[in-house]
Amino acid sequence: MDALYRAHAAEALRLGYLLTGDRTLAEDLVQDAFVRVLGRFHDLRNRDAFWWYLRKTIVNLSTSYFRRRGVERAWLARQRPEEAATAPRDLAERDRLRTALMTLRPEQRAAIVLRFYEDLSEADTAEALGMPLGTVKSTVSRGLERLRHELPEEA
Amino acid sequence: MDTRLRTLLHDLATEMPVDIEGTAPKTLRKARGRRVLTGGAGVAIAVVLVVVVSMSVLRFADQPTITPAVTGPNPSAPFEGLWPETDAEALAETQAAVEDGHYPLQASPEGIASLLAVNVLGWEPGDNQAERVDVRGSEAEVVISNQTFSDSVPPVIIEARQLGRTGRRGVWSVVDVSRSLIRLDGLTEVSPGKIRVAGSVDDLYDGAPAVEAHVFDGPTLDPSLGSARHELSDRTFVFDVVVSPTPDGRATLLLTMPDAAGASLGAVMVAVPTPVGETEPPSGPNLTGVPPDVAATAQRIYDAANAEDFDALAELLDPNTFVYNLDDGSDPIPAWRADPSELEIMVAILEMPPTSRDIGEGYGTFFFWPYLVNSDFNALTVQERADLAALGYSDQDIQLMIDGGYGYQGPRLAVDETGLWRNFITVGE
Repeated sequence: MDALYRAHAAEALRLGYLLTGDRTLAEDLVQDAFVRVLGRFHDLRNRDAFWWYLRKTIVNLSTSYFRRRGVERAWLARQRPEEAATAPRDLAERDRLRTALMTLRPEQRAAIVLRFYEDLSEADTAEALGMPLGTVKSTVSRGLERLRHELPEEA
Repeated sequence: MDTRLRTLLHDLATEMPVDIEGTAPKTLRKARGRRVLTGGAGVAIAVVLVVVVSMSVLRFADQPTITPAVTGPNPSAPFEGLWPETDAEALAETQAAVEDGHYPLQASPEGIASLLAVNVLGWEPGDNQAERVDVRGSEAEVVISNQTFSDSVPPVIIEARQLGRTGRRGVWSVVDVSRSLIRLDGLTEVSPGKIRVAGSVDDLYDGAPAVEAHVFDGPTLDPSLGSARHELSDRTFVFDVVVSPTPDGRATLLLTMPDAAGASLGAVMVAVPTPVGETEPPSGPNLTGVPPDVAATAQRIYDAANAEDFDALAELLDPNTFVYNLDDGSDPIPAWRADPSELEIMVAILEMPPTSRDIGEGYGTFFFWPYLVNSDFNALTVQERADLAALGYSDQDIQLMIDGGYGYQGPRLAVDETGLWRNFITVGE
């Protein structure tokens, strides 16, 4: 159990951060995911399967969190005035990406992160998200369109 | 954009501080505690499953149980009712319950039509609208429509009758559902236990591509005495339904034209003959609408799982391509030998109707059991909720699936269009 945690914690925390945009929230979410998966996966037979399931759980927990709590709107409301007041005129791309990601719906954000950070195929993304393949394609497409708008190439 | 996005995402991810030594003790302590709890939860789910199965004989889940009181008409006399009671004893029980203040909807023609819409036609509560209620003594005609359907879908016409006590507190029974979209032209008993259904539909709808037949004998479609599905290529249909025996040699046939959410656009309900005998519990996989290669594989999986024949199961799957619990390329046989209870789940889901999904990317079409994989959890039908309950899911579990936004997360099994068994998954969040 300890070895599994050490093997996957870093990757899980980074994924959680991309999905939530919040370090503390990512830590809580990843801890919850580990607790769930380690608790349920009695007959785990290899680490690849563990990561697959852990990733799915992290994605599900993050989208469920945003849906249930409605914190996305609160997060944006909290962040935007702060950015306007303190951020330099020309934000670093990383900052703009973080902000842009948080403007996506949770499912869009998860689909984008799984496709372009985890490098999953569309079929694997569909499996991880529990969505039909066509829905994944359209979700990614709409998410990319939104990101292109938020992150223009010339910026 | 794709390459740039990948780079940016990896760059952004490095912002997350990783303190494994600091977080590991707390997480692992919680996880160890959770493992103990999870073992208990497994027992709890098993108990829920037993309770749910036991309760499936109840007439309406949200109404109180009633004490049988056989005081109605002579049980041996021909009984006209098709739904929800199909014999005089059941009618007498319901009548007694109504007189005790239960089942108020069954004491009005409009109420019994609403119950039919929700419990049999799969309409959402509140979607049905009574366009006309014409009462003539102990007979009534109720015309209902579904407000969510387009105007081109004709209303459903329900004939109801008081078959026992009449008057204000007499129970109404449905005796006919017809002349709405689906026309039944012929009903032939081809051989004992096999009925040929022939008819036509007034119109074709993209969202409801098939006619389904369900044979049952009671207030719900489950337990099923037989079912079949016919994909409509034109407006006519002819297909056979294999029917299980009933003690009185009679059951109810329902023809529906369900949309993607399971709500039937039209309906016909008639009495049909069955072989006389004790009703046997349904056995065998539900192969409705699957191609022959897929049906053959599903039947072999079912037989092997039912017999706990691990060698036969091993012959049916290729460990190089099989996905067991999201584990690509895995051999599940050792795990099943260690815990054969998963085979019971396999049997249970194979007995539910299948569905299909185009996987794409060279995989073609997969056929999934159960059909719940494709269900819209924002518009669950009564039947879908009943099937989820039969799999052991509580209302709270179902709500979690709805809140999660991913739909069905329960056990599922897939066979691809070539008949190759692709996966069996029992885990999900």
